[in-house]
Amino acid sequence: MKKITVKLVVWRQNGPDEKGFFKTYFAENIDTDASFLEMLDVVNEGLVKNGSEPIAFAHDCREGICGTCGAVVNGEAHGPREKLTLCQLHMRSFSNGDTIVLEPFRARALPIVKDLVVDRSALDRIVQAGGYISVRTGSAPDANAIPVPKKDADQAFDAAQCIGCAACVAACPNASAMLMMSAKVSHLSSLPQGQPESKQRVLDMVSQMVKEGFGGCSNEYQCEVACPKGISVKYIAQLNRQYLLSAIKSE
Amino acid sequence: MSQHDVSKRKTLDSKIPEGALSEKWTQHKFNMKLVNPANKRKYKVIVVGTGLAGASASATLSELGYQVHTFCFHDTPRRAHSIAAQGGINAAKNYQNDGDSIYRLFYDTIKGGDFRAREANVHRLAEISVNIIDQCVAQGVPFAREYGGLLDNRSFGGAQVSRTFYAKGQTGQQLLLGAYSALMKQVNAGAVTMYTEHEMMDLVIIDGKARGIVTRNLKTGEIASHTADAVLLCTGGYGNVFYLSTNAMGSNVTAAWKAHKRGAYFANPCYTQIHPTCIPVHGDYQSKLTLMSESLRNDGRVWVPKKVGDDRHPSEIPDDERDYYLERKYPSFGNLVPRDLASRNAKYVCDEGRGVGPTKLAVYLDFRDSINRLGKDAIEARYGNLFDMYQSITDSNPYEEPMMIYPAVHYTMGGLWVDYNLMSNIEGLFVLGEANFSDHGANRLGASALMQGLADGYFVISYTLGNYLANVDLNSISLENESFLSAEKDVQERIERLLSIRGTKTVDEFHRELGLLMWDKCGMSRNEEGLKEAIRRIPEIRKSFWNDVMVTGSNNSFNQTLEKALRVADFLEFAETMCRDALERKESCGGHFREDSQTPEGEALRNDTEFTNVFAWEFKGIDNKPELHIEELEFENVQPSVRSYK
Amino acid sequence: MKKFILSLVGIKQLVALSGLAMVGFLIAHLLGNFLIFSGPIAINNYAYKLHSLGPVLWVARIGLLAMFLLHFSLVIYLVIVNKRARNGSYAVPIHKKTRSIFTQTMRYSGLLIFIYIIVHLLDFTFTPHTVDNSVIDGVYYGLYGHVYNYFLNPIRSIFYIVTMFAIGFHLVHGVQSVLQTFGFYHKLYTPIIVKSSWIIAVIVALGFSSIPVYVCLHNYLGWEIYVAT
Repeated sequence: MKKITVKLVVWRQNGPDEKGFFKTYFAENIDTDASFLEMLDVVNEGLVKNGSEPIAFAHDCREGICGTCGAVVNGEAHGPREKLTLCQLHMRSFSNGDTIVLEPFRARALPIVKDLVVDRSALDRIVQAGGYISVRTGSAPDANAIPVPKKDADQAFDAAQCIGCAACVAACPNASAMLMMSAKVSHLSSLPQGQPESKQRVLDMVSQMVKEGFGGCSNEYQCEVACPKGISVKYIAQLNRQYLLSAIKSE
Repeated sequence: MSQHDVSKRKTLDSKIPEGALSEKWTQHKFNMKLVNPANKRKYKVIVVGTGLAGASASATLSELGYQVHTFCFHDTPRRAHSIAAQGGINAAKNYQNDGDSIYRLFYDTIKGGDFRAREANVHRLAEISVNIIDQCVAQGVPFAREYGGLLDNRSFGGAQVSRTFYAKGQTGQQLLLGAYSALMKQVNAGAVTMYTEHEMMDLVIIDGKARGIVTRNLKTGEIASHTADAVLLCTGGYGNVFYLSTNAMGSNVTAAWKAHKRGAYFANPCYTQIHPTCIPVHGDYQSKLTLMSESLRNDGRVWVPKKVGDDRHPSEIPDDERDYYLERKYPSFGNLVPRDLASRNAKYVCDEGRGVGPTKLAVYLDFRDSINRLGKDAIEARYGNLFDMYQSITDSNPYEEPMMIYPAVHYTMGGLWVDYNLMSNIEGLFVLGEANFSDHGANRLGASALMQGLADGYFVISYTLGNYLANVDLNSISLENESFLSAEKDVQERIERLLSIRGTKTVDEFHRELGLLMWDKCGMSRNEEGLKEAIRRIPEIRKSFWNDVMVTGSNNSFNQTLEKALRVADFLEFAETMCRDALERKESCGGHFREDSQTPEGEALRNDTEFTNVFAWEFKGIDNKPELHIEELEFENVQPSVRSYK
Repeated sequence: MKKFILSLVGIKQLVALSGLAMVGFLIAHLLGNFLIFSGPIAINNYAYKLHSLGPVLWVARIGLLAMFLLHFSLVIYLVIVNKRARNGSYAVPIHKKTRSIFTQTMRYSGLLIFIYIIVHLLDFTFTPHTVDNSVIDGVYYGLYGHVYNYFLNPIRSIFYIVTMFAIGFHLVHGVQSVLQTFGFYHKLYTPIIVKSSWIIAVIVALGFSSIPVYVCLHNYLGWEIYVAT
């Protein structure tokens, strides 16, 4: 079992309105088989034992699906490995003596709650603006009544994999939520069930995104690089197309 | 419990409707009273939890017109651990024309639960299963499809029919996002008031009825009360009592336990499902376990070295020095024996000292023979993503050396006791999903958890809640009511007490200690002596916790240490009840092997004469023994039989 | 409809549209400029024909100016909105390794192009060809002479070439970005479009740069001016 020691430079901020600062810690004798968050657990155990407040970081399922975790590690959202959430990153991706700078996802629309924890409720409000199919419980026809071409179903699934972690926002030079939003728009508009609301959906979701204070897309595609689920920027193209057509036809 | 005590048992009324099994739910739906549409908006319903059950119930009830207030401790209602379910969701659609039916799904579930579930509930679940799929497809859940555009099915967990609907390995995620989007729709319509990052700290009962909750705002620490006409707990399972489990880090027993302390009965708490194919523990710092699909056992062969202490690399161990123990003991099922047998036997070989890997708590799952027989490409096509996941976590290449696996706690069948209407013994307190005990008996079948969560939330509670509200007389209450004030004060005091201890050990150290004890004494295999020891030791750990835990920070801001401490404090109380339940259930059933109840060949021995029942425990104070209530289970349609896999 | 056009996605589409119009103009302009290789008569005739279009020319000029102003002002708006959205900056620059140099420098290449266009308009559009600026070896060559003399100044030539490469930089990202912004994505065609935006960028940068290079070479090697019709 290999053990390493790394230097952590971590953003500490007590609350949303407090001033933040960087603080240095050492994570000593960390097993390289440990996950990144387990390394933080070890550091935090040490801090608590000394009566200091541990580093706050969001996490829950620790298997890369709930979308709770996430931080910027040395300038990369979710860290250096592709298509992984922070909880799936392991310490074997680092070497003994490395310095790791840990920052929260930064965006005006995602205010910092504490240290590395940010408030992502803005993403919920984007979904509330139209990221659903309005079907009342009990009113659905038989599941096989409307066949869906396999290609469309696969594309819908592909887009629907978004875990809402906001890494796309963190990685975007403009702090835009376009990838997350476009994934939802494309998921629903790829399916026949999503058609009736598709025009209004895209218009409403985009206006909500603007209202929340996210930036716009400048086609830098860093969201795709950061996305732990590998969601493609082709969905942003799809959103753009739908937006254009819907805006022209709107009143 | 001896036969002698039987007369003292209080029996519980499950309120199962009269009539033939297949007519019960239909008749009951007709017989139940309805709330006038104009009156529905006068009722306020609190839903705690936003997993499959909570999100679907919130959306459905608000569509009906009730004022719904929904609470979750996550930062958004899309994070609950339902999201991590991989395999699929069962439904008796019989789209494959392979002989499935509602009755067959019912039968399989009852049998799978080792005859410890209620027939009527399970039949209702099977009936509703078909509506769930319709509902989810209409919401845009992207289930796998065939080239003709119709839904695809697969056979799952050893079922003989293909009735499992799936969305790659992310079915739970897609179903939860479907329910979440329905919930978001209702929030947008102003029909649901959503409280994220609010943890339920207590249940408030007034005049014997559940009338509200006390919450803690996790961001600000604010303690607040909320009134309601009914409270729905959809708060999931308690697998984290074992510290290491496949549950999310935040999954906890707090909401259910607080309700229990206010009088709700906890049923069959010792029923825990252990999943055989998880990635083994690799060190003391380990925070959680990762499950890999059981389908791996279709082509992988499970083995350990024959000799104790054989430290050679697996490739250097010749075949005649390997023990393919599942194939040896169960020649007809081999590596495909059910979850409980696979798990238990892995434990046995490790207990014998034949475990492998650095911790000696693992067994090999070897694909060498399948790769030789079918080719690497065929194996990659079947398990590519699982192999990648395994390699990403363990840094070992399963194409070249055998995987290492070990069982892990995965799901808890026990939960708060509910009647047929999903109402607990406290009026107005409903419990849905994994948080209740009702449908899975002593062992849950694969792809049934998602089905139950959604059935409860979309299609059961919408009727039974109405029936309750239409029949009950509710006084108007205010937050100034003494019960709210005193509950808030209790919560405040508990928090202050935790913060003032300033001891020497961390919350995780206590949690780990408890978890190891529970895994050891109340895990896959139990005996009277071990359980008694656990019952003796848990109060000691609890006492030490309350004297020596270190909780940093304050209550007026975001404080994850405090959140964790509050949850672990409840696990420390709950664990004792769990062990008592295990101690009283002197039979082996489902995944629960009681060493003093086995056949001469060492197989599980169920005791139908004494234990065809549900144990429901009533809280009698922290250091007092809870009181046992019994619900007798009646099998009118299916004759309990013995499972055999030899 | 107005409200949707003036939201971030709509604005970006207007930026793309105006940018695309200017790319079209650039290509036409480049083709016109190539006439310089055919000597003074060819290019002067071309200029004369353009000017004789009268009102049509003015419509085109105003249209182009509008596109230019639209492109520039909307981009400024987007830069401000996007900057505000980040709210502070990362201590370690975000995704330094994967961001493309062309995309990152859009605003700088754009700014340089903006300055150049003003200089270019002042130097050519608003400066008439006179005996002071358009005479080569004692002969008046009109536009041809104006251009020729202009590029004999090495500082002007270098500034011009640098700007043309800035335009190339701008187009490597710009052209493919237009398609993404209007929602065109295709597994097969998108990679081809990415390549073709490189080709357009290189043609524009090298094509325009060839003129000062030609003038300098022409003068240095003492070639004769080709005056045959």
